[in-house]
Amino acid sequence: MEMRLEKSITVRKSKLHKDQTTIKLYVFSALVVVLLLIAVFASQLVPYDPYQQDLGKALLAPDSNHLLGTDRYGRDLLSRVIMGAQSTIFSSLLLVAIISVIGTSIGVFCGYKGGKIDSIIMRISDVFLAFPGMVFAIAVAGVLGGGIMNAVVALACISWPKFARLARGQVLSIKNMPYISAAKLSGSKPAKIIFKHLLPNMMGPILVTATLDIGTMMMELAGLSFLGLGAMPPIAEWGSMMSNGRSMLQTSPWVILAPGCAIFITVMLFNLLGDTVRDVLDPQTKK
Amino acid sequence: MSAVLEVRNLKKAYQKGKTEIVAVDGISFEINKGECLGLVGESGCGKSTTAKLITRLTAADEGEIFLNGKEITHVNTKELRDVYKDIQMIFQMPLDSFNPRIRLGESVMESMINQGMKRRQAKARAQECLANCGLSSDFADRYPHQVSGGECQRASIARAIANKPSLLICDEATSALDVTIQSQILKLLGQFQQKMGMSCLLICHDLALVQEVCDRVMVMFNGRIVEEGTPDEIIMNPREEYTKRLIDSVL
Repeated sequence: MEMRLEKSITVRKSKLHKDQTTIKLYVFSALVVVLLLIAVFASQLVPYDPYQQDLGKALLAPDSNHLLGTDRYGRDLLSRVIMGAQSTIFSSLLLVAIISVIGTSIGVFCGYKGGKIDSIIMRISDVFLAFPGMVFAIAVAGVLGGGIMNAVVALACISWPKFARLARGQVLSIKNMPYISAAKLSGSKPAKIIFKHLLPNMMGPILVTATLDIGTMMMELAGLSFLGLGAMPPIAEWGSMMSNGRSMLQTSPWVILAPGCAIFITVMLFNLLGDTVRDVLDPQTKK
Repeated sequence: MSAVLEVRNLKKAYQKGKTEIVAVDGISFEINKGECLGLVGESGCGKSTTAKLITRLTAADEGEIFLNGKEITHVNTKELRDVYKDIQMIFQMPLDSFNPRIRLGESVMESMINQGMKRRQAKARAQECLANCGLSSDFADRYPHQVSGGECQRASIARAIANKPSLLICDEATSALDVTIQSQILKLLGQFQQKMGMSCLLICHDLALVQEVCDRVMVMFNGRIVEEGTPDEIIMNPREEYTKRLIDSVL
């Protein structure tokens, strides 16, 4: 009798917990979708032309006409923040997608294959990890020239080893689990073992690292933009907008706060979504 | 009687730093059709390595393995998949032997789908196998962490017998289970062995258990087979010093 009582309590707990994570998932994905929609339809949403300069309206404080104020060329900051969402979010997402896919593939290949190829590729990744990343990215971006796409390529060149290392570690720890042996004994081909048994069990940490990296990558892209190696000046991009407003922090703080808050909200949303996705993906935490 | 499995002079050594550890040191034995062979010995004596060598999960350094008269030591990966129709294994940790993200039914179906069976047929067959192992059909939709260790091991047996193998290797299949479940699992294995004429290699460290189910026992020590005979012979009249110690150590 007592055992039954205990069992019914655990069942109830698991239901509550599951519902909560699902609700969180819906809320955060809805918010991220809203953010993405704003980015996609940015040119339809902007109240003013984000590139229209009007020096007569330079550095206006936020009011009912310009909700977030104007910058030193009199451009409406709300319009620029909305427009900047497009380049900032999409370039960061593209960058994280590139490095996580390439890094994970290399890591899985090395971890699963082992042997000499593994050692060689891992030594190469050691070289990348040992070199100061930003300096190398500046060098690559300098060779490729300015432009946001070149900045993405430059950062992708230096950031893949992190994911390769992570994925390789995951593969090495999972590779010797009995269920992989069981899959081999079931006659599964290596591709099936990798995609059905390995990847789903190692995606959690990679997904979380990837979402946490969106913020870091946004900042690094902004850094390159600041140096003139990323987004070119007239283009609205949160990072470069912040760099532009840096000198006016004391006189007109809204110029730096508007894109800063945008980055803060975006990064936090992606992080929360990443954490929730991990909770949902991992059936063991549903207990 | 024809031998289902014949192992000749099998050797495997692991490199650990500069020293070489010989895990399996030139063992030879055979398993006849329908026979249950026990392999006992302390931990680290090479029992599990032997199982991995026979299933080709680890490559052997030397020696040959014949399955139903066919040499399988050097077959390529494609032919190896055919070999796995005839040879299956049950692992020690029931929970670890199932992918935590895949439902039990799906795991049981995997081997049949790999052999080219249609999904619906495979699903029906998987449920039949689970039912034969005493699990109702709703277990097929559960994840490994939602069932108990004993139930998981039953599912593991269902997966192993799905393709009707001629040889089943149980690598400490009951060690992680408590005593009552142990006997249930062994009974289940015995049933299948009789019904399907399957041979069985039972790797174990529990002599009493071996005595109950095995037709023949081999005692392994330091990578070698030191003694072989029927369970009663070995337990009543152990010839080797190590076997005596092993028997004395039973609680």
